[in-house]
Amino acid sequence: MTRLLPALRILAIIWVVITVVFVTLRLTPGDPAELLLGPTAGRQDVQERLADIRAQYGLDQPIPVQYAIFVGNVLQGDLGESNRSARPVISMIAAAAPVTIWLIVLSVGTAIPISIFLGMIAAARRGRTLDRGIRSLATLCMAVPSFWLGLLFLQWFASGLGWFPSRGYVAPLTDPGGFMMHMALPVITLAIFLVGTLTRFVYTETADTLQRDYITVSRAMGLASRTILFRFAAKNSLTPLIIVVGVEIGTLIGGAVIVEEVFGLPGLGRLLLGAVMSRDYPVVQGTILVITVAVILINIAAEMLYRYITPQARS
Amino acid sequence: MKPLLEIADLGVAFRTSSSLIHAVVDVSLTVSAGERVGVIGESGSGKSVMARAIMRLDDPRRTQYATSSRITLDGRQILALPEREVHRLRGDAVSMIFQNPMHSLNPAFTVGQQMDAVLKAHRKLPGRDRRARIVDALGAVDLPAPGDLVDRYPHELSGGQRQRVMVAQAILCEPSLIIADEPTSALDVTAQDTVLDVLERLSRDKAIAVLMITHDMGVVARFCETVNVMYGGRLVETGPVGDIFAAPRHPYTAALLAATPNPAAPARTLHPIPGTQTTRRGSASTACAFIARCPHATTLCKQAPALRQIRANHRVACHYAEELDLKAAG
Repeated sequence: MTRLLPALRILAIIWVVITVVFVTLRLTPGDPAELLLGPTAGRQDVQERLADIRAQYGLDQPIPVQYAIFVGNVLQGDLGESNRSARPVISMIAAAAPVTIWLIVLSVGTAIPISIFLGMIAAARRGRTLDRGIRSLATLCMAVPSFWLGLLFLQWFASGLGWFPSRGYVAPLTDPGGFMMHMALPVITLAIFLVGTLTRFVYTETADTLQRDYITVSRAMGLASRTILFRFAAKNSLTPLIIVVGVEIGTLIGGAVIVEEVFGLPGLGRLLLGAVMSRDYPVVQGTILVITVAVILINIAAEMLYRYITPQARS
Repeated sequence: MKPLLEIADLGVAFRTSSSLIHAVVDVSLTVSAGERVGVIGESGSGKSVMARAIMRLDDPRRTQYATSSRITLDGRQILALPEREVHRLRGDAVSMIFQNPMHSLNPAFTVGQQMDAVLKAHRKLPGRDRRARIVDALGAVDLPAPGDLVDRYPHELSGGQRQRVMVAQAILCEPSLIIADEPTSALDVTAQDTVLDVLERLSRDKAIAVLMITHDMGVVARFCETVNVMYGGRLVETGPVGDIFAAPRHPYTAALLAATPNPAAPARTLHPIPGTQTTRRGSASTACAFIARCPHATTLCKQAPALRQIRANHRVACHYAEELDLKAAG
């Protein structure tokens, strides 16, 4: 039973997300069929087309039936069609998702080692110049807005020096070199923000761990300072980082919306932003559904990994 | 015979942003090889600071040792050694056991991993030998199934078991001295008993000297051969445990004994010591540290009494050590 609980929890959360998306669609002012039809509503054949849409989405059915159809469609991976391009939403998301996944994975992968290094060094040198320098830098990283930093990078390294392409995306399998070149500036922009948050977290956790009695014991037993810091303190102060990175994924997707727009990356963020601008409701709702479920799954995975690693939580 | 540990005129002060706090003033004591020596005093008496000074554990940026201070361990001048060499002694020639076993072990590592790191830091041994030695040490402190215990995490053990793990860790490198800073204060009575038994047996069998820091006269009575009574950062009385318990010569020692329950005389009324110990800021005071709380204080006590010999091995810092009828006072 206890083994099944996490799975049930995940299902329950996903059900809530689907329901919220459904309710939001019903709460949107105006006739959903008109909204789904988009700005083309108003042409000659409009009544006919509205009727088509109502039949297609079951909007002529009572609300509970509509709900059942919606849930059924979502579970089958049918998120509807874009009212702009008439492409299935799910395939638009499938095309955009890898870009965002790469952006986030590379940013997190870059930011984590840098943050661990900076945060631990600052904690070990607490109260000294190096510590103050690192913490000021971390605050600066958090405070600088991503869109501004992105534009600055574009101007310096893409337009000015011409080291990197300014916009666009190449799939890693098509052209690995080009992929790296296109991703470099967006990844750095997003990683800088993350380094700010994570460095401060690592610093606080490590400084706290270094005050613990067991660290004094390790010193009194003659262990080398670097063994104490990088092994005995690190395991205690860094495991919570797993949870924090999970939580930060949500913030990162917000950051990805901006960074993708600035660097012209065709990811989920840009898809979402474009759909919002053009009132393409099926795309907005499909994208939000997918992102929300992904964030929840990542957080649950982070929690499970944390439990697995922490001996007290395991038993 | 030259003592194993000799502390002479130790003065320790901590710098704060506004002042200097004198935690230990002019303390001298010796510990011979294999001897079990107690240091007793209430919170803030400077006993733990003195213990930490022996291993130089306090932050050198805010700790100041008096210039005349000397700590000699096995011929080595601890306070004059470079940090690297002191570090080499920690956990090897001298090890330490701390007060709270619930917090003394790292929760993220198994007992074996933690002990292995200590052994690795001091001895070049192949992994299999290290493990054998760890299992031996765990067995030596009467822990059941030491072979399984190695792979346990601290949260799987009770407080008493954890403190015995700490003792096992302390004896891994066969130290000549163990500093035990209130090792039983956080334990229940049964666990206290076991830990003291184990320490006493190890001390006898392996000739390990133990410096027992405590606030519990009961621990001193059952464990120590010699006792040093500290008050306000100073040593006020020192001598063989039997002599001092039978006839304390310092009013503070007498007051401490009067405040300690005695299972042999359960009906006796306990007398708490009135007032509180004060912190010494700025320059060290010239008056007797106990003056404010001493029922026998006179104007003479405004001049700090020196520690003087009144009997073989029995020294007291009180102007009236010979005259006072302290048993009655107790």
